[in-house]
Order: sequence, then C-alpha cells, then structure tokens
Amino acid sequence: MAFCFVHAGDLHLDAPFTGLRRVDRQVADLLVDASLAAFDALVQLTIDRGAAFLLLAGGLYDGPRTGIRAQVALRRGLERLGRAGIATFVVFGDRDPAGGGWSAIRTWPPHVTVFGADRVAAVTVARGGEPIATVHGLSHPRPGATPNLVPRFARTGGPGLHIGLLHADLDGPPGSGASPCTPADLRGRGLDYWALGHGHRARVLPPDGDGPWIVEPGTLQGRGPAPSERGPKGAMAVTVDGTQVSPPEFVPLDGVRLDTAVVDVTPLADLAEVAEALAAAGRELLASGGGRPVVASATLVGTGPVAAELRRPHADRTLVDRLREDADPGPPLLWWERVTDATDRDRDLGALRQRGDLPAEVLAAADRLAADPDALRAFAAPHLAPLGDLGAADDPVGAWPAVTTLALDLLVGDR
Amino acid sequence: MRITGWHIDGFGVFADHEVTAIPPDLTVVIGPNEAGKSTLLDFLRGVLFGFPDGSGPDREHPPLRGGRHGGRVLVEAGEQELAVERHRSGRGPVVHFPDGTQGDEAALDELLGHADATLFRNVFAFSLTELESFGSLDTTAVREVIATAGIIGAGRSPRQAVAALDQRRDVLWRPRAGATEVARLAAEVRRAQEAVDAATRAAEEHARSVADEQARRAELAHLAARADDLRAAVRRWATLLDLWPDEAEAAVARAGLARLEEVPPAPPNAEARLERARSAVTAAEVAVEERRAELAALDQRLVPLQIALLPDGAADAARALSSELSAYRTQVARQAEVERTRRAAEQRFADERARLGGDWDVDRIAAFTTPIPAAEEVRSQGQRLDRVAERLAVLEDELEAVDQQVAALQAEERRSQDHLRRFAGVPLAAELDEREDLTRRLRAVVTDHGWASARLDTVLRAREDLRQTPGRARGRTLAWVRPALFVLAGLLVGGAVTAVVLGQPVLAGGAGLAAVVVAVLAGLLGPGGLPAAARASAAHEDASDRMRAVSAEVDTRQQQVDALAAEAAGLAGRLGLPDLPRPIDVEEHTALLIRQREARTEADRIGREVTTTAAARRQAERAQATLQEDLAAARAALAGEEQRWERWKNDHALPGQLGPQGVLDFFAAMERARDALRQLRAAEADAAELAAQVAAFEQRSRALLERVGIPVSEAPADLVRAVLQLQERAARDEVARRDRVSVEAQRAEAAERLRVADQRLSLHRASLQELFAEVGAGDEEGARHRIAVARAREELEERLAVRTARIRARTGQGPAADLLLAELQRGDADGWRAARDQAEAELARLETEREDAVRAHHDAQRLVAALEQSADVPRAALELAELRTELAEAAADWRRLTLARALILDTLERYERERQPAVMTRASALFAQVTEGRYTHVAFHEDGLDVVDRQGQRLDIGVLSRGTAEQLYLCLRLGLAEEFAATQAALPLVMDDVLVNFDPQRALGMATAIATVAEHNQVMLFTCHPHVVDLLRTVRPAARVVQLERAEADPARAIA
Repeated sequence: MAFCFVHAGDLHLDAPFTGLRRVDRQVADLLVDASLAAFDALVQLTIDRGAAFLLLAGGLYDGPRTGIRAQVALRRGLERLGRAGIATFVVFGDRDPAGGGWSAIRTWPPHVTVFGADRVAAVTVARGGEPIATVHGLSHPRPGATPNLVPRFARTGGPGLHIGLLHADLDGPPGSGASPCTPADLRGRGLDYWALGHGHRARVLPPDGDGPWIVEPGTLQGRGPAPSERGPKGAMAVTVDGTQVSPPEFVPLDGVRLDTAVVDVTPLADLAEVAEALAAAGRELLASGGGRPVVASATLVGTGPVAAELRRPHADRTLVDRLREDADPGPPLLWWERVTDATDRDRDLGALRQRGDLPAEVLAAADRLAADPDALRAFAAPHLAPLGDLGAADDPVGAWPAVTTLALDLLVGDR
Repeated sequence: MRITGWHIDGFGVFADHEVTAIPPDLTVVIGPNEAGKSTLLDFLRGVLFGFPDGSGPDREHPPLRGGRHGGRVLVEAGEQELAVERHRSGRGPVVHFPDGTQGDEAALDELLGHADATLFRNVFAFSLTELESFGSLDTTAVREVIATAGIIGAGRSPRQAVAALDQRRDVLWRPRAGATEVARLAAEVRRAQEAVDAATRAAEEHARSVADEQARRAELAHLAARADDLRAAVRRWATLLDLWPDEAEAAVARAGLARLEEVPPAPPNAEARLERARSAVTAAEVAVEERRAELAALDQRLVPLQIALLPDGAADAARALSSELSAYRTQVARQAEVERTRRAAEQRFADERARLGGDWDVDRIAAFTTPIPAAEEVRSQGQRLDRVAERLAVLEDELEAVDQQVAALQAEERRSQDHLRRFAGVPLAAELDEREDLTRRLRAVVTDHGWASARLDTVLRAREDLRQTPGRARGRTLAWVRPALFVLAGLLVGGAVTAVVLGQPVLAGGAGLAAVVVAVLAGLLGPGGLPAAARASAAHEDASDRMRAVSAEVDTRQQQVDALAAEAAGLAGRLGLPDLPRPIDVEEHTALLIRQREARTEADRIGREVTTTAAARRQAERAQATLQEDLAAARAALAGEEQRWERWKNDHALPGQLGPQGVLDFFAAMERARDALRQLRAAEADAAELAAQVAAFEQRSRALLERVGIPVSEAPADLVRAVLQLQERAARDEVARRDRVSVEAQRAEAAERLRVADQRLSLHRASLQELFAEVGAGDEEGARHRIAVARAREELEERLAVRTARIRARTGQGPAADLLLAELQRGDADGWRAARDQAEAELARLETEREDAVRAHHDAQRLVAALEQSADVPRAALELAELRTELAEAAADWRRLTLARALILDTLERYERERQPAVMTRASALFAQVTEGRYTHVAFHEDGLDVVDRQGQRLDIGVLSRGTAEQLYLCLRLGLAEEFAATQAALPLVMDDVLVNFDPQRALGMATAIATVAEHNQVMLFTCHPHVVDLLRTVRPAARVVQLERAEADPARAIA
C-alpha cells in the first residue's frame, strides 16, 4: 500500500533569534511569530499531503523559559491533526522538557504518541486494517547530555516500513552529549528509515545497499547568522510504496527566511553602485524566498576603488540604512540586517615585509604572535582586561587577522 | 644608491638641462637667487618619489621654457649605472637598467630602500624652510620623526594612527565614562535581561497558576455545594412549618384511635353477609331431607337386575383381545422380514470389522470412542509438527544468509587491513605533533639566527670602520662610548631574559655575564670613573677603548650566533636535517610533515573503518552463533514433537506406524464399523421385540379363554377362532349389564344430589362461622358488637390517613423523609422558624463569598489564558538577543581597535628602543663636534628632548638659540641618514642653504660634520652664498661645485 508521512524536527517553538542586530517593530513581530507560523505550515502540509502520520524528532520546545504560548500552539496543531485523523509520533531531545514543563499540555491528545525514555517502544500504524509501518521511538531521559541511544534500537517483527525516531547528533563528536552517533551505528539496526533530529541543516543519506535512509530535516525556522541557520528551512515529505521509500522531498516551511548574499565590488565604482548591486541581490533573495519575509545580510568581497571607501568607519551601517530606506515595503518584506566588508586590501605583504620600516616591524610582530597563540593571548590579556568579561569574550586569536589588517590600514593606507 | 647626474626635459626654469659626473661624496650647487636651486631640489624629489598633484601646497613647476614636464635622474646602485625617468604626464617612474631593460615603481622602491616621499623629504632632501619647520614640531613629533624615520608611511604617522584608534575606541568604551556605546548597550542589555527574567518568571509560574485556577474552581464548587445545603435546610424548615397544621389534625385522630377497643377491621359488607348466611342455613336443612327420600326409592328398583354372564372384567378383556387381533396377525406375518434385516446387518458389520484388522473384536469396537477433542489433538499435533519443521527450514535459510554476511565482512576487513598496512611507515600523531613542534621551534631559531647574524655583520662592519679610520675615532669623546655600552648591556640583559623565556639557560647565563661586564665597563667610563691623569691620554686610549668595546660586542654577538646555531643544530639533528638548515630546508621539511599528517589522517580513517568493519563482523558472528543455537533448538523441538506424537498414539492404543492424517482416516473407518454394529444390534432388538409381542398376545389369550372355559389348541389359527367366539359371548353380556348400569346411574345421581345438599348445608354453616371468626366473635351477638367498633375506628383512621398522605406528599419517602417526619412530630414550630431565618442569613453571606470566589476564579482563568497567549518571553528574548549582539559587536570592535593600538605601540616602543641609541649617539657626536664640545649629548627624556652641556647639565632645547637648534636638527638628520644607510640603503642627502643662520665658527663645525658624513654618504648642498662654497671646499677640497645661473642665462655651467 502506498502512503506518505511527514518528518520534521527542531521546531524550537518561540526560542529566540540570536546574533541579529536590532530590527524595527514590524520585523520584530514577524520574527517573534516565525516559529509558530512555520509549525502551522507544517500541520497544513501534513493535512494537504494526506499523510498517514507526522514524525517530530525532538527539539519541539525549550521549556517554560521560552514562554507558554508555544505549548498551546503545539497542542492546537496536534489536535488539528487528530481531527484530520492523522497520528503524530513524538520523541524528546536534549533540550525538551521531558517530564515537567508541559503545564499547558497536561495530557497529550489521544492520537499523539510520545515515546518514553526508559525503553524503545514500537507502535504499528495501520490503514484499512492493514499494517503499513512500525515506528520505533526513544526520548532523551532529561534535558542535557545523553550518550548514544542508537544501540538500543532493533527491528521487531511485523510487516511494513520500520522507522527509527530519535533526536541524535549524527557524526557528532563522542562527547557531544546529544546521543552522538555515526551512520554505521544507524545502519546496523535493521530499520528502513531513520527519522532524526538535532542538526539544523537538512541532510539526507540515501541507503547504502539495502541499508536505511538516514534523514535529518533540519530546523523548521532558522534563527541566526550561522550558516546552518540560513537559507530554506522546513520538513521532509516522504512517499512510501510498501517498504520502498522514495527520495524524501524537502518542503520549505520557514515563517521568515534568513539568507545571505555575496557581492563582488571589484567592478563597482562607488558606494552608490554597491548599494544598487546589493539591492539587486536583495531582490534575488526575495524571489528565492517564495513570498516569505526575508531578513538579509550581505558580504562584500573583491577589491577595487570602492574597497577604500568601505573601510571608512560606519560605511557598512550607512549602506544598510540606505538599503532599508530604498527597500520596497512589500509584502513580502525585505529587511537588511547587515553588510559585512570582506574586501581584499590588495596589499603586497611580501614587499611590505622587506621594507624594514615600522609597518614591516608591525607585520613581523603580528606574524610572530599569530604563530604562537599562547603568546598572543598573553599579549592581549592586559590590554583587554579593563573591559572585564567583555574584554575576554572571544579568543583574540580569531580576531588577530582583522587586527593586523586594521593596524596596517592605518599605517600604510591603500595603494 | 647615489646620484650621478640628472637630465631635466622641462621643469620650471629648466629645459633640456643636464648635469653628470656628480661625485659619490660632497657636491656643492651654487647659484644666485632664482637660479633654480629649490626647483632642482623639487625636481630630484619629484623624479624619485613623484610629482605633486596640485592638491597640496607643493609647487608643480610647469616648464617655463618648454620641454616635457619631467626628466631623469642618473644614479649608481652597486656597480650599476641606472636612470630613473618620470614625467608629469607619464604613468609612473621608469627605471632604465644598463642592459636596456626597464623597471617600474617596484624596482624604484627597491632602489630607494623602500623609503617613501615623506621620509625622503624629512631626512634626506630638505630646504632651510623645511629645516625650520622641523624645528617647530613639538617634542613628541620630533622624537617620532627622529626615532621612527623609517616608520612614516604615505598616510599617517604611528602616533596619528594610534590617535585615530583612540578616538574610535573612546566612542565605544573608556573606563569610568558612562556615555560610551558599550556602557549604553550594557545598560540596555541589563534592562532587557530584567524584562526577559520577569516574563520568564511569569511563564514559569504557569503551572502554579493552573494549579491556583483549579484550586479556585474547587473552592467555587465547595461554596456552591454549601449554598445548596443551606437552601435545602431553608426548604426543610419551611416544609416543617407548612406541614405543621396537618400534623396537628393527625395527632387528634391518633388520640381517638388510642381510646377505642382494638378490634380487627370489619369486612366492608359484614352486616349484610350476616343476614344472608342465616337465611341460607335454614333453606339447606330442608333440601337434605328431600334427597334422602328419593334415594331409598331407587334402591328398591335395583334388586332384580343383580345377574351376570361372564366373570367381571372378562368382557372387557375379550374386547381388548379382539381389538389386538389384527395386530397379532400382522406381527406373525412380519417376523420373517425382520429376520432378513438382521442377517444383512450382521454381514455389513463383519465386512467393516474385517477392514479394521483381525485384532478388533466386537467388544473392542464397541468400547472404542473417538471424541472430537482427540481428533482436534491429532490436528493440533500435526500443525505443531508442521510449524516446527517450517521454522527449521527458515532458520536454515537465515543461517546460510548470515554465513554469507560473515564471509563478506571478513573479506572487507582483510581488504581494509591490507590498505592500512600501506601506511605502516607513517609516523604516529604524537610523533608528528612532536616533529611539528620541533619544526616550529627550528623555524624560530633559524629566523633568530638570521637576525643575530645580521647584527653581527653590522658590528663587524663597525669594527672594520674603526680599524680603517682611527683618526675619526680619536676625535670623539668617551661620552659616546658610555651610553653605547649601557645600551649594549641593556640589549644583553634583554637577550638573557629572552633566553630564559625560551628555555636556554646557558645562553641566558652567557648573555647575563656579558651584560654585567659591559655595564661595569660603562661605569668605569663615567665622568668620575677615570683618573685625571688618564683623562689626558684619553684621546689616544679612546680609540683603543672603542675598539675593545666593539670587539666585546662582536664576541657577544658571535656567542649569540653560535648559541643559536648550536640550538638549531640540536633541533635539526632531531629532525634529520643539516646542522644549520636554510629556511627553504625548514619549509620543505614542513611540507613533508604536512604530507605525513595527511597520510596519518587517512591511515587513522582507515583504522576506524577496520574497527567498524570488525565490529560489524563480530556482530554478524554473534548473530551466526545465535542462529546456530536456534537451529539446534528447532531440531530438538522437532524431535520432541515426534516423541510426543508417538506417546500420544500409544496412550490412545493406535497403530504405531500412523501419521496424524492416518489416524484421522482410522477414526473414520472405526466410526463406520461402529455404525454397522449399531444397525446389527438394532435389527436383533427388533426381532426380539416382535417375538415377545407375539408371545405376550398368545399368553394373555390362552389365559382368558381358559378362564371363561373355551378350549384352544397351540396353533395360531385355532387361537384366532377361539378369540372370535369369546367376542360373541361378550356382546350378549353387554346388553344385560347396560340396564343395570342405567338404574345404578340414577341411584348414583340421587346419592350425589343428597351429598350436594349435605355439602351446601355444611358450607352455609361454615360461612356463618367464618364471619364470626373474621370479626373475632364466638357467636352472632358478639359479631354484631365488634363490627360496630370496627366501623368507628375506620372513620378515625381515614382522617389520619388523609393528613398523613398530605404530609407524605410533601416529604416523600426514605430515611430523610422519616427524619423530617420525626422532626415534624416533635412540633417545635418556633424553633423551626428561627432555624430557617438563620439559614437564610447564612445563605446570603455565602452568596457574597461565592461571588468573590467567582471573580477570583475568573481572574485565575484570565491569568492562565494570558500566559498561554502571551508573546512577552519571545519578544523580550528577541530584544535581549539583539542588544547582546550589538553589545558583543561593539565590544569586539573595541577589542580589535585596542589590540591594533597595542600592536602599533608595542612595535613602536621596541622600534624606538632599538633605533634611538644609534641615531642619538651619532647625532650627539656630530652636535658635540659642531659646538666644539659645548654640548656633549642629545637625549630624550619622558616629555621632551634635552641637550647636555659639557658640565653635565641637561637643558631643554627650548633654551637653545635658533641657529643652535637648527644645528641640532641638522645633526639629528645626519644621524638618521647614517642609521638608514646601516639598516636599509644609503640615500643622498640634498640640503638647500641650511648653513646660512650659523655663525662662522659653527658653520665651519657643521661643514666639517657634513664633510665627515659625506665620506660614506653622498651629500649635495645647495647655496647662494659663495662663502659657503669656500667653507665646504676648505673642509673638503675635493668637493665638486656645480654652478647654476639665473634664468635668463644658461642655467647650468659646471666649474671644476
């Protein structure tokens, strides 16, 4: 019998966005509701596809510290699926409140199966009285570190597709704490499809021979500037014929798209042309967002005459202000979050090293410190100490190339 | 690099103007005002470092006499004669090499030792005006220009750079300043954090709020129940008050009943029934007498009919036999057919028995039973055997598959191990870490060795200079040596500290000891360190002392170089490299390590694959062993099932060779045999029953015939004839008997009527007695009295019942109603009224309390709903995250600016520390020479520049005259030029009329100093004063003089 199911994870309902600068009220409203809108879209997708069931692979909710309305939204969505006759299977991950913390969901709706943490349970799904699939699931016992749970899974008898539902850190380091496991671990358990959660970037490992599909749908809503949080986010719609799984279809469901563009400034003459190029990039991001609001950032690369202008203090902020003023109010809304200057100084460091003057000495000193991170940290510590914790917030090793470039910019200038 | 000439195509007053053969030492260019000296200076600076673009104050000097704007400067570098060409309209400089090739700006930059235009203008090519402006710089700027001549880039000075960084840093954050970006953002973060905490606390209170809402709901239910109770109590007291009149009436009725005699209730029509019973008894007594007379008359008619023909019962028996006669004939006729049926059944049974086998006799067949459960057992046993056999086959298939999987994994493991062995020679990660660390240390030591070797070369050149120019050394004072030795001691101390940090105790000890020796030597050379007699011979010993000091420094430098070479050899030996590897050797070795690291990573990856495959193989082998165990168990199970089947057959006495289906077939055959046996026995029973019926009829017939005296033989036909004869005699007897029966029937009817009359009389008498008994009386008089009492009680009880019914209609039934009645009968109406009023007051108070509880419950519900709908937490968390991002970025900007500032300042400080001593020493010597010892030192202090006079007094340069200050600045430039020549490249000094403000004595001193410098650094001095030419030719007779004429004449004419 052919059927379809939907696989999602890492909803993190109402978990905050991080790494963004301040936005205006309209954008803030969109961001605040983005994860709930994405979940509503997930429920609608599940109903529209006539799915036999929905799999939620952990990371649903980070606890009451993110508010209560997320629980209410989750409960209503699950009840809506139940009214449509669609079962939902849930496991908890390393951040879900496993025991308490569900004060707005004192009892789960009857069509919802929440797998416990004491043992792997197997639930058979039937259509027309005929078993079509068995879902094996195991939750993390509590928020925090959990060792690899995969060895506790094993295929049981029964016809149809056998699915493993788990929140696990695929290819994560052994000490990562969120059930770190490897594809080899998963392939040895005899199941047909591993519905995983944890990674925020979607990943599909096709079967190796007669092994299982290993699928991570990624997060439902990107939440920050990290690469794993940018671009389309959504869920997997999976079509099955008997036990034959077709390649999962990724369906974007994010309420707000976080995306980035890279613009080469080499052929551009001035900041006005840079702004025009960025505006064009923004229109492309909007087009790829499929009608969603887009929070955009851009990185400027290359070199040329405009690179010097970009190095003036606050040049990036000025560009962002102009882009925001010139942006079409939408909908869909486009909000420029930041523009990062990564243009090349087009500086011959080899020649600079040969000069024997102070810039050469500065470069040599910077090279020596860069080659000895401990010495660099010892050098930086007393200078940064006055700022207290903020002074020691980051390892100076990471910022050292930018520091060196800044010092040389001021001492040497542009060619 | 030095200038050998120039060719001006067009520049100001110059057109097609050429001068060549400029000597490597001193050249004086003399010309009157407007001859073009300043223009020539600008031309030289412009060709070498670029012409002004017109945006600044510098003059562009467009060609006044034609020619292309620009020209070329002829130079000598090393052994090569080059030409640097630049035109205002050109793309940039062109360096013409002797072989005809050309170089661009990079080649020129190399040629000029990477000096830039500012450096050249500040130090090497300057006018009097620029010399004066140099003097107007503040102390810090002077210090910077002097100490960091090579620092100045095309843009900012390092101090300006640091100032720019400070300006940006201060906007972001500075200590104890509240209006900075970081402080403002930190305050906003704290405020946002408080908002998040408040919203989070509220959210975390959700569970408690839900519990509170439930508690308030329960309290509301409790209050409602309590109000219901009170309302029930009010209703109860009101009911009692309503029922009280009926209860009073009922009490009166109960009192009347209590006064009357207790009698049973009288029947409803007792009085009428008494009268009817008395009349009926009288009439029944008359009827009994009449029936007795009728019976006596019939007894008289029956006497003559007492005659009988046959014994009693014989006639009936004869009729019975006659009625059975036809059946008897049929039975006699059926006996033969029954016998045939029995024989056929007997034959079928014999056949079925034969099919079962000879051992089965009639009793065993009859005793054998095949109950349905036994057949089900057979089927179940058969299915079990089938299942066990089927599982055995499945396990055999699975075992075969696992065997193949184990073989495949073993092959894969062998392949991976073979692959892994190819990396056998690759060092382990720890060894690679150690070698990489050694390589890094070796690179640092090789670099340090290069630097130390360069310093050694510098000191060696200085010693060689001393050997070749002993006279010049004699002209200097001990004051030059002493600070140099202190600086050397400081360097050695620094080296010792560095060696300690680098873990080189031997080198550190050597450097420390050398520092002590040099410091002591410097102390001995102090103002009071030499006796007065020795001071007289100081001029002679000065050179020797300087030579010794420089030699000592050479030794120290050599020791450092040797120590670094030894350390490099030790590290290189551990890495298998030459004792003193070149940097390229180190880089190649680094590349080798990178390749080995990549190979090690690949080997580790394959190693992990081997481990993974081995684990999979072990898992498959475990599955194989498990399947083998399961297979053995399945085989044992099959054997057990077969044994169990054999036992079952034995227990059921079945043939041993039969399988389950054979047993089921045997059961079917046995059932057929048993069916044949049942039919045989039925046929035999039928025959026996028929014979018994015939015999019974004959026995009864013969006995009756013998009783009535009719003879009969044994033959059945004779028996039939005798029975027919008996039937005729019975018919005759029947008529006589019918008459007697008729009379007897009439008598019986008369007797019956008498009995009925007697019975009716008894009944009427009994009815009368029964009525007496019903009213509890013994006679008719007593009965009439008790009926009257009963009627009075009935009337009272009815009244009581009516009132009671009305009360019950209100109270209902049940224990509560009984309690209410009990209370009602207590009759405390006033108490009930008071209780009702109290309950109504309590109810009003409770309603108020309930309304409060309803509001509280609504509040709790609203709070829960508000929490469940609230976006406060995500909204506040978003704002907090945004503010944190901006704070982190501002702090990161501050850190970046601060570290850039620290990097520049740290380098600058070290640069100044290393460069200043040499420049200041040289400048001090020149300044002392120019001022004839009036001033012995030039030195920096914390806030400015000082000069030290021959009495050892430190004086701020502000006290110097303009001329003396210019002499000082000129000496500083000469010192800088020499230092630049030592570290970078020797560039020509081009000075425009810098001696005009000096008195003749100082001018001579300065000319002597310039001539001294010109011995190893080209000097071109422009002047419009002939006495300056004379002065310079006095101190340097070989100096060349280039004459420039005023514009209207040929601008250049060389004189010997």
